[in-house]
Amino acid sequence: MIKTPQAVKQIWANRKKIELEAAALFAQIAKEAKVIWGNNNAITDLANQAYQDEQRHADLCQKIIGTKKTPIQKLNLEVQLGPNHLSRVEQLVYTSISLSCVTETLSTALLLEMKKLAQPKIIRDTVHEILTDEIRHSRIGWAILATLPKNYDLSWVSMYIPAILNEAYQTEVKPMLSRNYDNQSLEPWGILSPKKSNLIVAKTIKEVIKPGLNKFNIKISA
Amino acid sequence: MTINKLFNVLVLGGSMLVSTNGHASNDLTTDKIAFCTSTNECKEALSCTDQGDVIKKMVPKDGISCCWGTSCADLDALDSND
Ligand SMILES: [Fe+2]
Ligand SMILES: [Fe+2]
Repeated sequence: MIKTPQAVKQIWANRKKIELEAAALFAQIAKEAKVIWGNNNAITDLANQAYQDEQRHADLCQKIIGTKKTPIQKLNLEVQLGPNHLSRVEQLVYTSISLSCVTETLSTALLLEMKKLAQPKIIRDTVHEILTDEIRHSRIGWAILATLPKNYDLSWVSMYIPAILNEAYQTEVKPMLSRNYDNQSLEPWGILSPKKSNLIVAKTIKEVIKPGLNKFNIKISA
Repeated sequence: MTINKLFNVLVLGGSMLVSTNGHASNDLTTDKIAFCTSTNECKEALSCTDQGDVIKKMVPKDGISCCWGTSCADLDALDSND
């Protein structure tokens, strides 16, 4: 059996942290959607499912990291949804865009590439499983935008988009990239080079996120 | 599966999740169906645009259309048969 390089373990440990943060955010989205749209709304069900998925993703990452599981810290579910001064609905919209429409969409595009390059079985299986779920997670954000009344004006979001994109890159994409290591050799382990991932991120913003947000009258100048 | 198909699969597929008749599929591995919905709804969501690679096709089946990334020319041909 091939030994997993330490650098690979470190990067999948970063991913585990990201997965748990996403779990907490989806739990909050599920809760808020219930307050706003009442019981039996599709968004709460989808977000609750995503909350479970993200915890499973963290477990998958742990399997790659391989060391004994550190005692499970209790997930802090009381996360802040978007800037303080926004209304309840606005905070939900802000978080859905940031988490689902942007982060999960970028993640889907990057995982598609990782899937092509992954080699050890554990990496291939993990990437495949996470990718399948990320598609649903990205759709939740677009579903939330589509749920809003047709006359709900979303143009206020435009001013936040550059910061949301930057935050997504810094906290979700960058920690998953190879740094000073031999870029090529880490690709089979599900770790893309900064150059390749930057190209995918730029293309995804241009061809998916930007037209997607435009469809809901949110302009981005990227 | 290429990035330009993600617009259909994620953005339109997500919108379909909360539409009354929508059904979104997770299949990303081939050019198979991205999602199916009522023909009218599909038509509304998928009017062919000039937005770069955002291209799609509809195949009616018992009042349901299944939509995926193919080409604007196919959609134009379908429209002219209406
Ligand atoms: Fe995840
Ligand atoms: Fe996710």
